[in-house]
Amino acid sequence: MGIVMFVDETTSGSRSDGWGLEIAEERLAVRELIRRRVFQEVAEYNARTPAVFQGLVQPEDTERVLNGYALRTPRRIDPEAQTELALRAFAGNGFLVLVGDRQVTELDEEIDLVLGTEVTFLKLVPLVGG
Amino acid sequence: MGEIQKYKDLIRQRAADGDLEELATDLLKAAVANNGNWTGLWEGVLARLLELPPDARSRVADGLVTQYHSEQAGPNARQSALILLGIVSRDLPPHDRLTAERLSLLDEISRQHSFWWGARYENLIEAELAAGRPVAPAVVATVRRSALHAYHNDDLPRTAKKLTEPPLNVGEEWAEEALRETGPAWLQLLTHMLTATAAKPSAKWDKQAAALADALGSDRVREAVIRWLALVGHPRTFELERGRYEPDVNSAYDPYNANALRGLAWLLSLLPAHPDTARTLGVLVESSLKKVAGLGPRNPKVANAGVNALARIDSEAALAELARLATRVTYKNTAKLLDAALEARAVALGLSREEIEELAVPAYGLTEVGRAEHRLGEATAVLEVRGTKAVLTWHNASGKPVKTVPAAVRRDHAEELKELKAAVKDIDKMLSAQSERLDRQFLADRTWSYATWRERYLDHPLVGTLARRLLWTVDGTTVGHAEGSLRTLADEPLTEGTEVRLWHPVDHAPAEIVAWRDWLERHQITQPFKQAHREVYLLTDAERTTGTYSNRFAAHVLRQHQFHSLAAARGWRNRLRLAVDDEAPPPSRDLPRWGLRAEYWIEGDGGEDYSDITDSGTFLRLRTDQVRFYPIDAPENWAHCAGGEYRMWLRDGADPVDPLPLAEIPPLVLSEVLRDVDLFVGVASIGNDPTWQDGGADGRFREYWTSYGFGELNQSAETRRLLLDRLIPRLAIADRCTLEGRFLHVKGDRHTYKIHLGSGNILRTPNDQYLCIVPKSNPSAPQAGYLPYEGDRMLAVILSKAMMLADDRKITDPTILSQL
Repeated sequence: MGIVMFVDETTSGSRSDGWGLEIAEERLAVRELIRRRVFQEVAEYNARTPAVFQGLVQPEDTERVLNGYALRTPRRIDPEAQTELALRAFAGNGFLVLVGDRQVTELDEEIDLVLGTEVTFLKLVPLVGG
Repeated sequence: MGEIQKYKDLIRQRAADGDLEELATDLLKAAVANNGNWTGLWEGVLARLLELPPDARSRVADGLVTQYHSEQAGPNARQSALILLGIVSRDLPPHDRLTAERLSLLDEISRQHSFWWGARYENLIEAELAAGRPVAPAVVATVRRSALHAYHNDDLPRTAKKLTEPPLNVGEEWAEEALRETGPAWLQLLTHMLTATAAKPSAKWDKQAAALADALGSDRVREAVIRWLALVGHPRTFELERGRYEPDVNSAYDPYNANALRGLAWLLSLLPAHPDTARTLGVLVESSLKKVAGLGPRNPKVANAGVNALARIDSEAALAELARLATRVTYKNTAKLLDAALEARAVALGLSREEIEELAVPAYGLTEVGRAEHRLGEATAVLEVRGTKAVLTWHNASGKPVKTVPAAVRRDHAEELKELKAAVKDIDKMLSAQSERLDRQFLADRTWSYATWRERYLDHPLVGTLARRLLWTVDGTTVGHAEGSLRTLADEPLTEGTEVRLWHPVDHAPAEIVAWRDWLERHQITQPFKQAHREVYLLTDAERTTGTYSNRFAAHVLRQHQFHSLAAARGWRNRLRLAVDDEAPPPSRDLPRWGLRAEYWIEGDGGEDYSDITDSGTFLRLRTDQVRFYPIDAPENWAHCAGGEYRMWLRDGADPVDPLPLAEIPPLVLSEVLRDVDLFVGVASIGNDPTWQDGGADGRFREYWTSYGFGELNQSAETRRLLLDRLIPRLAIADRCTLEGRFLHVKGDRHTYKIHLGSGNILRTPNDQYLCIVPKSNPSAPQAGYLPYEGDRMLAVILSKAMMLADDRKITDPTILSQL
């Protein structure tokens, strides 16, 4: 059991201070790690329902604003649906996950969570041919 | 000339012979000869015709009817017949000749913005009036608009004057709303508004307007006028047909109604002050300066009337609105008026112009920095500034947050609720205006005494929300605001000082700048504009060699209209280059605080056959040249719009003034000016538009486009390179990536690619084939991303491209596959 630090890194090179999440297991699949992160941030949002959701992926029917996503109508966010979106984004290169200094690419990959493990999320953009 | 005389003689001859039906045929022939244009010497022909006795003219009229129906008559001849019929039947007894046809032509006219006075359509109207029929309001509107441009002609304005109903032109939502007031006192008021044709109201105009408003009750008038003005600029209630080379008439103001708008703005300033008044006038000014294709700003006259009105109102709200507009308005004429109004207010109060702008920022009811609580009955409203937005939240009687406005508030406090909601909007607008003003303070090089600064910036309820997210220099020590007080880099609190400046990175060592960036991140501070991350432009060796000019941003191809609006927004003076034989000064920015003027030399580029110009003859694109600095009072440089050397325009035997050596320009000024120019190139260059890879028509920009997309790295690309260097080893694709020079090389299974670090463009190696992949504009796919502040999108694009290309066997998008 230990605290895993979640850090959001942006492409301008800055890092968020990071926030800790208590995780009982010593090994966890990437899929589960993402799910826990999403559940945690959705739970925090639903407790306070501020106007802007700051989370890993954009919920449905929201507008992208600086520092998050604005909800068109205030409502609770469904953590299951949000996890589904996050897993799809991961599969489609919507964001990268670095555990420690290494990128993980498979959802089923099991990772060791030693004390103070840092998990970094890095955002990418969708591309098309022009 | 001989021909005109021929027709004059013919009229006399035909009349003497009694061949009046034939005369009709001759007149139509004349109309063909003059293209229906009875102006100039041709007027004499019509005058001769009118001298004929009524019964003769009646027979000519019959002849015209016959001609109208004859088989040979085409549309032009028929139109001429209708107009001539209107002329010859003047003061004849009413007769039902071609009435339906005339009405159908009038209907056509009603869908036009205006017609040329030489077309003599007023004769159709006269014929209608003679028949005792009212003219349709839409026709009235067209006639009135046309009469505004009837030079050297009295007939059309005379006819237009007879059309007194309705008092305003239909077609605009605000006017139609105003026309719903039918009482005689309202009519009188509207009629008086239309007499606002001068630049400023006379004492007499004011007196009469005040009397008319008094008769109706000033509160009632204010409410109505504010309701009407809120509708100004809405889409027309019916569309007009846009003729060839005609501006976008459907987005323009009706020029006849515009006078009334001017009057209404003046009228508002005569009524007792009210917060809605200043708000409404501010919106009117901005909406009147909105640009319309082929016309420019919609209606500067109305905008200026709005400014004049605000300047006349002695209220805090009006002053705040003036100060806000001063940061937003770029149209020179109106900007000057705003400047004069603020200057006048400053003189009256014995303050400097800068100080008046600082003092003019209202708190909008905020009681502490970025926050206020209002009790409305049992409920509490919390007004908070978050980022650059104001947010209103509600708590019920027991203090619990509720999502919607409590019903009791809606019921019992409707007026206060309305005011609160308006305050939210005002705060949003003012925040963006203040943020822009603060951004401009770098070049103003202002200093404040510590106490003044705390009051007007750090502790100001509204400005404080911005000032507390910026870095400042207090007596030489850099400080930011965190955890309730000013703190140094080591988080030591700082509580007093004497002199304060706005912090700029150019004065500081790179290590210190980076340390402050970290500090901001640690305290999770989002800056309202780039300050700690501001790009710094230092003098280069190349510029030391060229001495008096910088070629850093030369030889780019820019989209002219985009450049023009960017330049205005950043405080540069510029003139749109038209493809005509004319000269213009270069885009320039005055820096009065430094006694300098910066110039960016450009020229129009219309292509070989001038095909790259707009309908109104404006160049679509510009070519760029040097950046130079001159003393602010040096004579202006001028060059031909289509290119050629800039030369100094010397008056009264004055000596030419040399450009200043770049090494003598203060680093802050050089950096900020080059930053502006980099912005112009970065945004308006055709080089960053992937659709230009073929170089445009005849490929003449191909070479430019390629060098832009794959050339040397600029400042921001260099930073990007450093970040990638740190990031790539951590990625799963690390063994497939190498950073070399200006490119990130990515080894895929199908090919090897290189991605340019400046533009994000991709070339396939070894043959350097261009691969066009662009960010999806409206991604429906789930998107990730939490940004502590806006990140470098280009880096995200480069990384995304690298990830995709490293695994190029997995690409399924046919638009990309087809290129591999």
